[in-house]
Amino acid sequence: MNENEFRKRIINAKKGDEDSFNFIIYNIKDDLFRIAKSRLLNDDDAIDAVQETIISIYLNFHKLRNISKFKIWAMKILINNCNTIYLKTKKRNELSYENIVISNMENIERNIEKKEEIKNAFEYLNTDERTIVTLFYINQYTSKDIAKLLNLNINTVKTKVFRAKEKIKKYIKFDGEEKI
Amino acid sequence: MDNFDNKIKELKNSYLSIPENFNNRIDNTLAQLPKHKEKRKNSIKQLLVNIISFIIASISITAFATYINNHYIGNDKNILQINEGIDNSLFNSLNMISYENIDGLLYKLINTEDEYLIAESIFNDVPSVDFEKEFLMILDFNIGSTDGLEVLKIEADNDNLNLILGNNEVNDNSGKTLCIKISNQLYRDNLIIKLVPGSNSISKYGFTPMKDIQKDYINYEAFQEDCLVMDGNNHIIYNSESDFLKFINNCRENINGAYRIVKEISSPELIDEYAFEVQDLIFENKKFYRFIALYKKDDTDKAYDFETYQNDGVEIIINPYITDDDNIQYCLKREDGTFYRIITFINI
Repeated sequence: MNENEFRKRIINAKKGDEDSFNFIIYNIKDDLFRIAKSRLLNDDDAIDAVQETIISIYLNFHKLRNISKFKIWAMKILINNCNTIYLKTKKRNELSYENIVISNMENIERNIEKKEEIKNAFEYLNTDERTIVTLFYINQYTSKDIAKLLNLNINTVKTKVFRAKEKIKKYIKFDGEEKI
Repeated sequence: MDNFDNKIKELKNSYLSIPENFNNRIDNTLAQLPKHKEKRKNSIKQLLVNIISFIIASISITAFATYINNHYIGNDKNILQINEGIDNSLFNSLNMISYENIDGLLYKLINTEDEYLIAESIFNDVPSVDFEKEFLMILDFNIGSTDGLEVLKIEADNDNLNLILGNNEVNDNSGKTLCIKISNQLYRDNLIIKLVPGSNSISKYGFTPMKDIQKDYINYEAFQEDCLVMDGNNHIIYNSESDFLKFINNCRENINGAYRIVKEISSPELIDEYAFEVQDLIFENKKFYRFIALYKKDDTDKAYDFETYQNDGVEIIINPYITDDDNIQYCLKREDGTFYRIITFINI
């Protein structure tokens, strides 16, 4: 999609054009979901976070000052919503600890059974590392944008990408049948 | 490295793939957005209503509290609370040792350097005080100001420090305080403040205030102002005894008023220095207040030189101890039964 076209749509959406709003949401929804999933590791929670984010964007569109930074702005809202949902989920999980342990064990066993070592390796990373890997390798964000999004130094982002990559390689090397 | 990138990108189509129900849920969310907007509008409206209600309630409570404070618990105010714009916490730190409320008049005694420093930071024009010799009294009105308030007399007996203040009834709400330095020798644990009509309040009855009287007053203005003018031998020069009796009768009917007697000096001790004496009698609120001033012969900045306030009384009587038929002496009788000579009329 043309970058200028996307900007025009943002301007129109900001003015209240619903079609333009739907267009830009459809344009970023998959990226939003992947980031949410990378942080929450659960489809339902990730979809909830995306839904909350869409509502927040709609209600607070007038607060967006720099149109060129729309995606970063939306991602920041998403990450805040993910953190809120994570805290709620954590509280809920603490209340039913046994179920969660069983559930996690089932997930890992299922992953092992399916030999999905890359998923295990991905879950082995911490939250920020998963987000950075998703942004960098899957959503194709630059280190500079990731740094802005996560309020990090650009060199820190580069280091984190490198370390996450090393961790995954190490995990797969120790566990998996396939060596990278 | 390509192998790794490919492996990572597998995530996009597997672990991080988009669930089947995702698009439906996004569509639902988009469809529900106008409702969310309406909900927010309503919540903002509700918030505004709550804020306005809160402001109205606050104003009502404040007004009610002010009304209660002014009408029912005003006497509990301390001297600094009545000064707008003054930090009351500072005054509280003065730790008032005592206070009195007479017709809304309040006072605070400053006995130490620490208290003085705080008072100086609060009030303007606090005079310097030598605490080895004197202490400071700060006075203020609960309502109005101390403008028009004058110190008429400060005296101490065995138990009490008596402070007599003259009120000239000038209330301009300027919030000024009055600072009085008092000798340590007069310090007593009990303080009695008496508020009486000020010497200037005679002006409302048509007489020149004592402080404004000039040295020729006895020859001109005293006649114009219908005073009782007498020579040094107690002979009437202008007006009559019946005029004086008319004033006494009015007072018996509780009619507020004033009477002025201007008399040439005849006393050998005073005659060299002073020309005449002015004696004012003010009757207000069923009480007589007596002021006397002596006026110098020579031209000086201050024409009078005498403590003006003399005493108060409840009645004017004829002195029962003077039996000389040629002399009638009128006296001011006090509540305690003592009396003071006001004037002697000599029948020729």
